[in-house]
Amino acid sequence: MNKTYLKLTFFFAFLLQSFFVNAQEEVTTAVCDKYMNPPFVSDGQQYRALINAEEVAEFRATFYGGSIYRITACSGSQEGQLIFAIYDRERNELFSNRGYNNAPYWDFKFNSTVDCIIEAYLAPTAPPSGFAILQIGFSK
Amino acid sequence: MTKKLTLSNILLPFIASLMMIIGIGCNDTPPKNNQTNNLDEEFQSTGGLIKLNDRLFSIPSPLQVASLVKETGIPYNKELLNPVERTSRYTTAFKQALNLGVYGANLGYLNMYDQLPDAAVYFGVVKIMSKELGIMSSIDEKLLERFESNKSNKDSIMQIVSSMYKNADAYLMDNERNEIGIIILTGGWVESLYFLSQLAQTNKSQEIINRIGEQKYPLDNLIELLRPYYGKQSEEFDHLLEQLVDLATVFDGITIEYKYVPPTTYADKKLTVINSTTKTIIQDVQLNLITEQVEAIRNSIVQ
Repeated sequence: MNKTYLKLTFFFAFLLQSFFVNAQEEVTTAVCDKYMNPPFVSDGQQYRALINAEEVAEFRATFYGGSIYRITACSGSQEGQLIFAIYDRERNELFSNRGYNNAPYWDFKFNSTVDCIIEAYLAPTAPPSGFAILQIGFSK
Repeated sequence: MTKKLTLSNILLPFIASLMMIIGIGCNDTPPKNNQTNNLDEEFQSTGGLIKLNDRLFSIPSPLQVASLVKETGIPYNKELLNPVERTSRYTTAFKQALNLGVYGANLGYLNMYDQLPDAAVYFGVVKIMSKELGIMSSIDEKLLERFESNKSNKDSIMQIVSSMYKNADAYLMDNERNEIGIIILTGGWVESLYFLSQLAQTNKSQEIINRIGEQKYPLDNLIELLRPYYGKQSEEFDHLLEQLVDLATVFDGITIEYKYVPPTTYADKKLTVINSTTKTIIQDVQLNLITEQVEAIRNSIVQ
C-alpha cells in the first residue's frame, strides 16, 4: 500500500513539476517575444536554460558587419530580471545591460563582422532560480 | 493480492505531491542541489557555466544570409535552389531534417528576391516536411493561416518563416529531439554557404568572398553542436560530420584579423554601435577548395 502511494506521489509530482516548468517557460518566452518585433526577424533559434543565482549561461554567436541586431533577455514574468553581457573573443566587454536597469532588450549595430560571447545571469533582485531566455533578431 | 484504485487512493498522493511542489515553489531560499537534479540533467551544468539548452553556439540565420546576398546587387538565380520535386526522395528523418533546413534557406532566398509565387510553393514543401517530421504544432497551423493571408507581403513572410523555425526549434528541444533541430540548422547553414560559394565563383564579389571567410567560426560552432551525436545516430550523420570537419581544415587556413575598438552606446535609443574591425584574408586556392567541398556536401544532402 505504502509503495503504491509513494509511486503515485512521485508520478504526480513529476507531472506537476513538468507543468510548472513549462508554464514558467511559456510566460518568460512571451515577455521576450514582446520585443522581438518588426523590423527585427528572429534567427529562428531560442536560447534558454534553467539557472540558479550563482550560475552564468553562455553561448557564442557571429554577428555580421553592416547589420543591426536586437537581443532580448528575460527571466520570470517581469522585466529586468536577467543581466546579459556581450564580449568579443578577446573578452573585451562590448556591452552589458546592467548599467541600463537590466533592459530586457538592446540593439547593436555591427560595423564589421565580430564573433562574440554572450553571457547571462540572474539579477540580484530576481528569484533564486529561473528560466533565462535569450533571442537574437536581425534587421536588414 | 490486488489493490483497488479508489478516488481517495489517487487523491491522497496527488495532494501530497501538490504540497511538495507548492513547498518548493514557495521556498525563498536557493534550491538545494537534490531538488533540481532532474532539471540539471535536462539543462547540462558545468560548474558555474551552463549551456543554453545544450547549445553553446548559435548559427547565423539562412534568412539573413539571403538578405546579405540581395544587398550585394547580385541578380536572382533559380538554378541555385533545390527543386521541390526532390522531396519524395527524402524518406529518413535525417534527410528530411537536413532538407527542411535547405528548403528554409531557399525560401529566404526566394522571398528576398520577391519570387513570391515560388516562395508559396516552397512554403508548402516546408509545411509537408515539417508534418512528416512530426514538428508541426498547433501554433504552426496558425502561422500557416497567417502565411495564406500575407502571401504578397515579403516582410510578413520573413517574420512568419522565422517564427516557424523558432517554434520548431523550441518544440524539438521540449521533446528531447534536439539533434533533429541541429540537423535542420546544419542543412540551412550548408545551403547558405553553397549559395555564397557559387555566387563568388560567378561574380567574384569581394563582399561575398568575405562572407564566406566569416563562416570560419560558425563552422567550428556547428561542428561542436553536432559532435556529441557522432557515432550515436547513423552512418549518414557521421559521414556528414566528417565532411564538415574536412571543410573546417580548409577554413583553418583563412586569416581573420580582429582589432578591438571601444563601442559607442546611445542609451536613449537603446543602441550600441560595435566599432571593432575584422579583416578576413582568404586566398583563391582556399576559395576554390571551399567551393568544391561545399558543393560535394550539398549534393550529398539534396540527392
